[in-house]
Amino acid sequence: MSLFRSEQMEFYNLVIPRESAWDVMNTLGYFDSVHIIDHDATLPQINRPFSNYVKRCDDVLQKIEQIDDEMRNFKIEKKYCPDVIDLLKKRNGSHKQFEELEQDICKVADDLEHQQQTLTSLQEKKNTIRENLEVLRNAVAFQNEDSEEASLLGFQKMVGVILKEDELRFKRIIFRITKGNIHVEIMDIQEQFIQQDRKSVQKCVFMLFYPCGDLTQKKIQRVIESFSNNKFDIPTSSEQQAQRITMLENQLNEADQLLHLTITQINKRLQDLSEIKHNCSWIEEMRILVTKEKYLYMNLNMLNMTNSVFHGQIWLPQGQDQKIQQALRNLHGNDKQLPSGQIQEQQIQSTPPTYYKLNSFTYPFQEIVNTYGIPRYKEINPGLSTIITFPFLVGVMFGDVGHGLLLFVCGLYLTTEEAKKSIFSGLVPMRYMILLIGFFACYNGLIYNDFLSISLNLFGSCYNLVDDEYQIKEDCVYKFGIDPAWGSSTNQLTFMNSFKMKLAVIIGVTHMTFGIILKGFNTLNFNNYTDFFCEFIPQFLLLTCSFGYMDFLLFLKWCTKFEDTKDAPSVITTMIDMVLRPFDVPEKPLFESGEQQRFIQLILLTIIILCIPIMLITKPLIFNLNKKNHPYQQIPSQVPDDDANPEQLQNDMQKDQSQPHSKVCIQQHNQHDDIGELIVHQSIETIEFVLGSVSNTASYLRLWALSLAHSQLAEVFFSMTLASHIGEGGFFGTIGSIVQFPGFALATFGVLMCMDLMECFLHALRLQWVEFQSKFYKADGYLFKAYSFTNIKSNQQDD
Amino acid sequence: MDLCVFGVDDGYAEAIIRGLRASFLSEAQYQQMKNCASIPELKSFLEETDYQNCLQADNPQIPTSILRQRLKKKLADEFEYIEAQSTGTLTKYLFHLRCRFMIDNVVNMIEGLKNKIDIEILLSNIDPLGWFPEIKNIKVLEGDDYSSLYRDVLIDTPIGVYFMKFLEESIENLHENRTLNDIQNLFREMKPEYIRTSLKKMWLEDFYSFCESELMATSQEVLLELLKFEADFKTIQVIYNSIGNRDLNTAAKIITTRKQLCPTIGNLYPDCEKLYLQAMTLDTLREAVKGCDNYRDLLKDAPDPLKREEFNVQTKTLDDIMYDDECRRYALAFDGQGSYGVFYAYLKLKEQEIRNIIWLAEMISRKLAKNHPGWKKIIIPFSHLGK
Repeated sequence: MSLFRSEQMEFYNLVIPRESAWDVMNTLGYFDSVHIIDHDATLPQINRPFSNYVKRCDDVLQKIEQIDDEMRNFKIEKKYCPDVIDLLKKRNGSHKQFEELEQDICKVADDLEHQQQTLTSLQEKKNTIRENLEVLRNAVAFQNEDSEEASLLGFQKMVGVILKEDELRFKRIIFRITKGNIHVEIMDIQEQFIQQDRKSVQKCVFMLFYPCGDLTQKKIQRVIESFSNNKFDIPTSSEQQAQRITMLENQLNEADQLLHLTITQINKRLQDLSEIKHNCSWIEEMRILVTKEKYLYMNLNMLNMTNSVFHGQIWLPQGQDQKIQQALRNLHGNDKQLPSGQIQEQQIQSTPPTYYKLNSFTYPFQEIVNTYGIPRYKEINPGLSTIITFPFLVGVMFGDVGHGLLLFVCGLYLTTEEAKKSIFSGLVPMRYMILLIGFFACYNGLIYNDFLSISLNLFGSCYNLVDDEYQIKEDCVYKFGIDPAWGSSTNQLTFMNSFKMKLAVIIGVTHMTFGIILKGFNTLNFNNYTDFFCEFIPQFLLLTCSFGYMDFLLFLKWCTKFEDTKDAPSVITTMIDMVLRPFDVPEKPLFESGEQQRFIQLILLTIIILCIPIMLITKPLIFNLNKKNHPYQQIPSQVPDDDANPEQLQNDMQKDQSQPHSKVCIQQHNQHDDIGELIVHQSIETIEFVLGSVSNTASYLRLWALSLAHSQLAEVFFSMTLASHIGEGGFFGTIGSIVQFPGFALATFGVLMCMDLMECFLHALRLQWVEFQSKFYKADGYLFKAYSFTNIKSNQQDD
Repeated sequence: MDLCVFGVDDGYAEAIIRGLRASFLSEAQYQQMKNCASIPELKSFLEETDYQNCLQADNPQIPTSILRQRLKKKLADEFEYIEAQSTGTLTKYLFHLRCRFMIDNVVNMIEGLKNKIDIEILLSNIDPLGWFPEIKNIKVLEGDDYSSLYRDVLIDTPIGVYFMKFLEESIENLHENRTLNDIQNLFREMKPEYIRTSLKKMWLEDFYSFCESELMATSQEVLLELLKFEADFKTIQVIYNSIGNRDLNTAAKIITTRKQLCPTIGNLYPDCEKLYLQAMTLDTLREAVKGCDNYRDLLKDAPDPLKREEFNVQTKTLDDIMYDDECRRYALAFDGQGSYGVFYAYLKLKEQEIRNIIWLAEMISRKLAKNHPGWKKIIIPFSHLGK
């Protein structure tokens, strides 16, 4: 029953004293069944009582993210938590736990940051030493060559390091300042420098030679300063230079060692963090615990705090209240000092949420329905029938034993554990739907007797081929589906079209009638007898008397044996004549006598014509009469007034409590005060239904069209690739089929298994949403959102 | 015709801008900001808006200067992204837009160096929108030798052209037999503000002619209109600020300076030129511009510049009035489809938004009473549309 109609909901007041707020919320989180109503959805998060806690959680999460980034940088593996609830139960603490967590994580993060800083400063130091060393080496190398002469000529030189990318600009500016009176030597440093932001940059040593002159020197000095901050002085004697170089080299070594040490330290620390405790890495464990805290406070923020007591309103599915009350009573165990939270049942004030207990089998089908709209509370859920009708409709269009089997196998694979880890993991939630589609495609393929465009002779054909002509065997009926002999006959296409078309209409009318019957059940369930008599009955009659009768004629025609097929009356003509020439006796009756048929058709036509005004005017009339009888009674509004005075509301609630619980009845939305509006609405609905019954029936012809397209595509691919070679046989035929097979396989996979399946899926979706659900489905409910720790996901699932 | 082909090259960039349009703070959000009691509160409020990511790493007690820098960085990042997505004319156009910020940066640097402020501080304060690699080399500037600054550094930069023109013009204005000393004197006395105004004037004229010659008709229609108004506002501002200015003591000097600083485009030029150049009081200025649009109404509320000393926070200055009017015009630029106007308007309006936030942050950090008139001195982009 749980999927047919949504769960019975009960409305409770939740009262929690501030001291035990955390504990109560912690307890409730393990129940999967509390829907907390936000007391004021417009209130910004920042103005809520626990916003600073949420903020703190965010900060801690950010720190965790930083640590995580660092771990990724150091390529440290970590284990995600497989079972969140299990972990939370193991690590269940008190509200003080968060403070501990926060301290722990902050400490770790700070330590790490500290180490990072050490690392960067070391890096910096190393860079400076290296620059120095490079400059010195280059200077020495240059000096040895021909600088003796240069200095004799009165040239001065300047050395430094700049970024490689600045080279051109540097040269240009220097050139301009000295008016070209300078020699610039640039030497690249091979190894790259690692900057603070961990990007590596290329640098180069420059060496300037210019004639003496204070003015230019000052200027050049300024330019160099604007390009880099480090200054280098080069000792004059070669002895000192050598000394300096060895010293710098030593320093560089030291710095390198220190750097290495620090990196190892950081690495070790991070390794510690990824250590597995409670079945997953420490860092992941922390992430989940903090996320839980945040989630808890976010939900606590939905409650209204007055005088250190939290008031909130919650929805519970029926039967959960005992468990929760029990749990709340046991909350503090032996310690009776601390007050616990309480829940009190209340009169339902607003529309309850729609809640279904779903499992992995029903999930995808309910999802199809929910995508269109959430069912109204207690309305018949189309999701239940969808489980079979939807895959069946796809199967009708996708009908082929071979393709169906392939799909079925795919579905089977998806149900295995392995599929969850493969690249198809996205399809895993849909696995049962795929399985069912595969099954029904197979079933319909058997009916069409179509295996990759070839008919199968499973039970022995009832036709004998005599002199190129098929002759039917006496008293023989093919056991299941279409006789394979049709597959090779010349009028195969005409026959299959006629069959599939009729099938489509029969399925369509059945589907829609089913939808209307569901509407009838809905009206009965909500005690809405006006709708039952003024909408359901006429709608049902209209559809059955028109297209239902057509279906009947189809079956009748199938069951009748005609000596000459030319004598067989056309169902379409009969239907048209029934409306256009109702009083004429049909020329080719399907019934035993034309008179009889005319009589029946007249009755049906009368019913149809009578139904329309009933649908059109009775409902507004009844409302009008009701209104006149009770001129002062206002129609109660369904949605409670948001601006209502809370005190008054409470008084009302208390009053309501004293009264015996009346059965909740959700009335139809069509309670318009204005009679004119109602008439317009009703006439639109009526016109929509009458026209819809024609156009929707026609819409079901897509079942035929898509199935035709599928079989024709399959046939084309087969005949274009394999058929001729198989027909040829022998050695060349074998080689030919081997060569052509990849083409056949690819076309089958790409066009039929992917594209055509998608197309069939979409068309079935349309039939489900538009043709079927429009008959009864209101879809104006809202979903039950459980406050539950199961909503906390470990990161892995997000990836 | 424009609409048919606009999307080929620039559709994506325009779409991004229109998406970013949603990031403007609403009036309700401004109201909430005004209710913030402290800077940390303001910061956490901003973290719930589009500015979330650029503020997250900072500590709650963020100084306004850093706040401004962060907000501008965000705008610059967005702009850089759009620039990277643009091609052809749009790239050139967007680059022109950035030149304005480059001028500001260069002049700020010069000003800072003159006042002996450390270059690191100056570099950290530059507007990221107007960043270019040569900017740190402005340090080369020695004394007041702008010509060598131009020759050595700025010549390669996009704003080198304007700078050259500026130098040429200022030297030309000297008497016939000028000496090197005269030129140096001229530079020494030159105020950075003067450099800024004249550079911006040249930029505006250049940008105007760019729009006129290279853009498609729809963009032209929107942009030329906006630029005309901007030029007019510049003119009015120059005249207004020069009224009663002590540095300009003779009438002849006022007129030459004005002539140099007023853009030679816009609705006022050249019809009213003679009148406004001669205007020595607010009333005559009002009279001078009455022929155009609603300028007279704008000036009606402007306080008299001769009583400059009496101005305080409450005074709605000419700048405020003009920002208000500009905001309205830029918001309207979002109406049309297929024009480059939106990029310009977006930049201008975001600047206004940042100004607003910074203003409010200042107000909050000074803990001014809620009935202080300063709270009302923000101009909310797109708030005109509702009325």
